[in-house]
Amino acid sequence: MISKSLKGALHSYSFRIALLYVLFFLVSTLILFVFIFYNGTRSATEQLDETLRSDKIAFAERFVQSDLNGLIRLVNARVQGQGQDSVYSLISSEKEIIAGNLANWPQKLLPQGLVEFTITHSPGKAKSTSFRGEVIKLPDGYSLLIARSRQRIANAQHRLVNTFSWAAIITLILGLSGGYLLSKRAVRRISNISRLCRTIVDGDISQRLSIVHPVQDDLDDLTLNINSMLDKIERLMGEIIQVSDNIAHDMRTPLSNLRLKLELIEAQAASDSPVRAPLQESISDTDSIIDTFNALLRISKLQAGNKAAQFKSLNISALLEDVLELYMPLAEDKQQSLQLQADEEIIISGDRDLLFQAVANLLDNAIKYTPELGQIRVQLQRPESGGISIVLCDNGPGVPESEVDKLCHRFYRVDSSRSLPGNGLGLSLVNAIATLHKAELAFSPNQASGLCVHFTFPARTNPGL
Amino acid sequence: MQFTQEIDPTGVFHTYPGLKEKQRMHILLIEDDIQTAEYIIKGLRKNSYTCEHTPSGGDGLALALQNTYALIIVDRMLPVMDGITIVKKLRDSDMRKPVLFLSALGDVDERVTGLKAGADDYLAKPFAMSELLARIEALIRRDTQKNQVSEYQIADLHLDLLSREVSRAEQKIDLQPREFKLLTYLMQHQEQVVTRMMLLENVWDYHFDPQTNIIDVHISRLRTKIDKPFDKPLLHTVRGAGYRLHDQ
Repeated sequence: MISKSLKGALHSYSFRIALLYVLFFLVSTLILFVFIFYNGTRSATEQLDETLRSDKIAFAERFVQSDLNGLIRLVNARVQGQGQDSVYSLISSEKEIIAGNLANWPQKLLPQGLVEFTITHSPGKAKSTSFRGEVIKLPDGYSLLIARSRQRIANAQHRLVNTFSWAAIITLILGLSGGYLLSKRAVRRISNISRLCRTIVDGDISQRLSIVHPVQDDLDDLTLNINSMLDKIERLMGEIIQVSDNIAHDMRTPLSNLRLKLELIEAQAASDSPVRAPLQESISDTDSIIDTFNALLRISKLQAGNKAAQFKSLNISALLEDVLELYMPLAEDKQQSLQLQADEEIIISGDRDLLFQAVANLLDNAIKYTPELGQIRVQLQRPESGGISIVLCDNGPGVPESEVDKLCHRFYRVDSSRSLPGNGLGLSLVNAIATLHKAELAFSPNQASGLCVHFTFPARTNPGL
Repeated sequence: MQFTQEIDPTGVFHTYPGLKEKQRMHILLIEDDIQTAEYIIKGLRKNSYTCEHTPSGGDGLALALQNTYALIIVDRMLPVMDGITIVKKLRDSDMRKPVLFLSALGDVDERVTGLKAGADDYLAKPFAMSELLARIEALIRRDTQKNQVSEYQIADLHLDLLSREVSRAEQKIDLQPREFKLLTYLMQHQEQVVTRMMLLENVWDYHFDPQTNIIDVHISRLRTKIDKPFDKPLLHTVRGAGYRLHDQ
């Protein structure tokens, strides 16, 4: 459950937006860091160079005022005053150290100008200090090295990196968790909306979304719009039902009278009258209009009404046996084998007559569309996904995959079947009955050829088990 | 008024031999659509019934309570008083004559409502005259011959409900359970027209619309067993209406 909500939040649109924002923050923090780091380092280095320059000037003045000995004295005085932060070293032309705090003249040091070098304090230890300084050439082959430790700059740099790393981590944590919480909230509201839409699709259009927030936000706007859309759909549906009820009522009586009148005329016509045959055709035409009309009305009534309250417990296995027994002679006439596999008695809750109608329509189709000597199998199964499934398979011509979705549309008929009798309402009625029972109607191709129809009741309409 | 039997060769409006000996059957029709009522009256008269008609529910109830009718046909949606109320009041005042509902409300639920109110049969509009006539005949017959029997006989065909045996000309005939039930219903209504819808409702006990004429297939199965091996056919098809077990 938790992992599901986490997954939902992580996959949500709002979380993705939050993630994008966190990324923007990180990038801008990084850019800021680079600026600060670069400029800070530069100004610190400039400051160090300034110190070196003033040192250099001091040494130069001393050298000019006195001689080498005066210089040596100044070096020694500086070494005592400055400690480890500074390096002073005076060497002769033979690279012999004359004064200063350097044990060895660093190798690979330029003979003159700005230099950078590191000194390992005690051999074998990793700790070393980096220095920046200048080598000044003096007359008679003497060289003077003055350098300052870069340790402070390095320390400052280190602190800067640390600070910014922590800032980035905190930004990331705050951003992600904030994004997660925000999107979880958004996801919860959106999934409320989508759950409601689902129940409406399933048939209960009277449901409405609730608005609990004191301040109206954009999701509340959406909610309000969905609600007003639902109001309108409900009103339109009501009108359609009203209109079709009116049509039904207004047409029933004239249709009834038309048929009665035709019957009366036929009864009065002499047996050899030439109008007898056309009259009988008219009567059967009227009957097929009445059949279509009744079927349409029945589907509309089933789709509009909620009959689930009148459901009773019934033995679905026995019902299947009854349907098969009724249709067996029809299959036998086409030399088809019709088999029922329903090993256990299963009690479900439903409308007995409607379910009989549904299975009868499916079986009638199977017999009609399967050629002679074909095989039709009806099974009562418990699919792994739960519930109870009536599976009806034939080895007829099947239905092209592109047409499967349209099978339940009113008046839809697969092209190859148009020559056979039928009004294209049989499966619409089955579908309406399935919807009423919250059952699922699905089609799949049979192994070699033919069609399998799955009429699957959800587990909850099965209170006896 | 003269009482005549018209012979109808088409079989749409049938004549019933049994009626000859009986009193003329008087039927009350409570129907607010004048044209429908007119056709029904014509159809009934053609079939030797006499008929009284009123479009008003209130008047209908008053007439019905006189209890002089063999059968009452009631529409459900009527001015002044609806059909359900009429039937309930009739049954409350102990009027036991058969009542048939004729209604535009054709759902199974509506049918159940009608039958629960006390009606004996329920026919949805639009309907065929032949269907109405067959049902009227069945109701009136049921009303006049109330004693239960356990054996039925027509010509040389014999059916025993207790031993569940069927024989014709002393030859035993094996029937499937449903075929037995079908033949029983036909035997109980011998010499009457029985429609396909009546067979579905009474023999199969499910209310549904078969897309195919599935009943015909079952009848022809039954026919091969009870008629085919013998000289004289007993189970006849009545065109445009249904079937009839008929001797001669």
